[in-house]
Amino acid sequence: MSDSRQQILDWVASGHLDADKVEQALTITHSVPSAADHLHFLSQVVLAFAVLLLCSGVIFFFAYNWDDLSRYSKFAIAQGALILSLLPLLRVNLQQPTGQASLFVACVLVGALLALMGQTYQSGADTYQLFLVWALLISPWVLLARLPALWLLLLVLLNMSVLLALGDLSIRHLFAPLTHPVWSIFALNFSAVGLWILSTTHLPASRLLHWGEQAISLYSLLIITFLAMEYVYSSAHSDGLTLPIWAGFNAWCLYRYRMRQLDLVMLAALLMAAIVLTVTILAHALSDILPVEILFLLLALSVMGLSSAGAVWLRQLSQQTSLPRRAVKPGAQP
Amino acid sequence: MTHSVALWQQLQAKGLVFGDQPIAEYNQQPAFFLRILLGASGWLSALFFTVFISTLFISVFSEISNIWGLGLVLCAISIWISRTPKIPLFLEQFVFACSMTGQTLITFGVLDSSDSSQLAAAALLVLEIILFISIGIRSQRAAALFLACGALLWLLGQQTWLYALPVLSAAVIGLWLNNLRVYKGAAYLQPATVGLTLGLWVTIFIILLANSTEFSWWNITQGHWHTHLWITAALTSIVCLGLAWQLIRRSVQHTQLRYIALFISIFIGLVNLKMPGLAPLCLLLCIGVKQAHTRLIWLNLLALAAYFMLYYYSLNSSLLYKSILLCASGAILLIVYTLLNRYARPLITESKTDA
Repeated sequence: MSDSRQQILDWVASGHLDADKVEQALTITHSVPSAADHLHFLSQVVLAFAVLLLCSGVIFFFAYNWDDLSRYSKFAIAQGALILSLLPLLRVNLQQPTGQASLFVACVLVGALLALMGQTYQSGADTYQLFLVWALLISPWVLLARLPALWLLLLVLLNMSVLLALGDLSIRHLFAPLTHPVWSIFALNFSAVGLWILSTTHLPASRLLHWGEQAISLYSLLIITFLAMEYVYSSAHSDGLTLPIWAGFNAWCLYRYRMRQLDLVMLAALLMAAIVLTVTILAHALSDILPVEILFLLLALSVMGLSSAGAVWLRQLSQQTSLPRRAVKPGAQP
Repeated sequence: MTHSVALWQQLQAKGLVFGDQPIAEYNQQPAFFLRILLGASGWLSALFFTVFISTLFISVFSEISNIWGLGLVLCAISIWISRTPKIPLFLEQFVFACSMTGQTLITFGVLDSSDSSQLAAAALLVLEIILFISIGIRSQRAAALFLACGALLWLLGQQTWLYALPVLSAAVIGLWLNNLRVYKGAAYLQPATVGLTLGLWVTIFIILLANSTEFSWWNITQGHWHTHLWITAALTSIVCLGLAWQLIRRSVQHTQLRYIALFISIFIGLVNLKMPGLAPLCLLLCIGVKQAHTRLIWLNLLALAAYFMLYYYSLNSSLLYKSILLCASGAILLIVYTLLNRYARPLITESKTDA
């Protein structure tokens, strides 16, 4: 639909289609969604925001330092809200947006209930345990429902849990040869990418599934690039495998997003990560050798050169993929 | 038969186009992922280039008061190179770095030699407008207009800068509403729309942050801040209501839906008085949906989510009050969802029957 729209707009820009007729042309060719599609999409957006606001409202309610409510009343409210959120599932199934929203709210409210338990009984548990138990408790729902939004929620909870555990348990080093604590977060997210790809292979392709995979891959790329930059600048070279792992991860991404399934957004992100790391290595290696002016000129030229070369490559890939659809025979008879 | 041939035939059958299909020219405007890559690396190289030029200038001339002259030369060079037909990507990146360095040096030079920040802001504004008109690369026109928005806020000064919100809202929403009708001027209008939209988003978030108790150390909210803010919010609501009515008239044919849309617009306009900036974001989202503009939709959704998060987080009230407010907002949205669903269903059935 967006290709048709762009094509029509290109014809307007080149003067082959009258600008006054553009809206009519878009409607005739179904290049813009119908009124029903508009309403459907807007109602989904409104529902998503309603769910987020309600969940936040309930969490803020329990975060308030209640003195007037007894512990039984608090638990009754929390459990009542949880049951109430599940009620719509008696009437609607998980294919409908209302059913999906209900289950999402229920998953969030499990966390509110756990937080209330921790607050009431002062269990002495560290915060990472709350997120871990929360993730474990909602796992059966996540597995059964097979909704991308819930998978992402589970991954966020696990990330929070690992991040807080590193702080709460004062973990400063992991085991050699990968001692940096952030390796644990990279391992978690890289495993999640693998699981996501494995579990979605046989599902019908959807935009949400694709974006989910992109989001986790980009996050993993961000972490590994941060680790690589940190390694370049750290004085203690204990994590000797960092750069080979960075290269391995990028090679895997290149295979996945170039050979298996072309994804130009991911390839652009890979190029950006490579440019940033190259600049970091150059700056670190040459800072003591070259005068500061020459060093910065070299860095500027490197960024310009690498990004231009990368953009030319991506543009060629993009043209190759769109050629079969965009190819036009001059003078072709309609 | 290719996609574009079929499209051309469809338009020809309806008498909208005549003759043979034009030979496809390669689209000069790069795809979104390319723009992100080139934009991010462009800013990075501009940073390095600025440091290079500045350190070189300082090492050659110990005096820095004339550095604005070098800035002018760099801007002139970037304009001259950018007007070359079929400019290679490397040169495009160089032009960006060169022009950003030039702008930084001119602003710094004027600020250093005049001691008046207003003069520097005015100089920057004029420079950005000149760059917008004369530079030959679309993405850099957008960047120039975005920076012009920043210069405008700076020029307007303390508290008066708030009034940029209704002005920018009117300009941005007006451009988005009418960009299809004036698409022939896309070479200037498209970058203007992008640059101003970015400027609007940034302005909204600066207002939100300035109004937040978390940033009270900024000392922006002194004097008649609340009066100015209220007037700004009211003006923005009025502007958005007028433009929303234009959108409703054009795109909502169903009478009951038209009333609902109008009612929701008035409601958002009223909420905008307490949450300045909400109305333009909502209206831009609706325009994005109407025009099937995926990027506008998702970027606005992100902006709205960030807006809500920041707004509720920075409210200077008890958690209980926040909780009630959040639940009430959620409940209102659920009612809106029910209403939309109720009226969308017959429309969907209707469109399926038509198909």
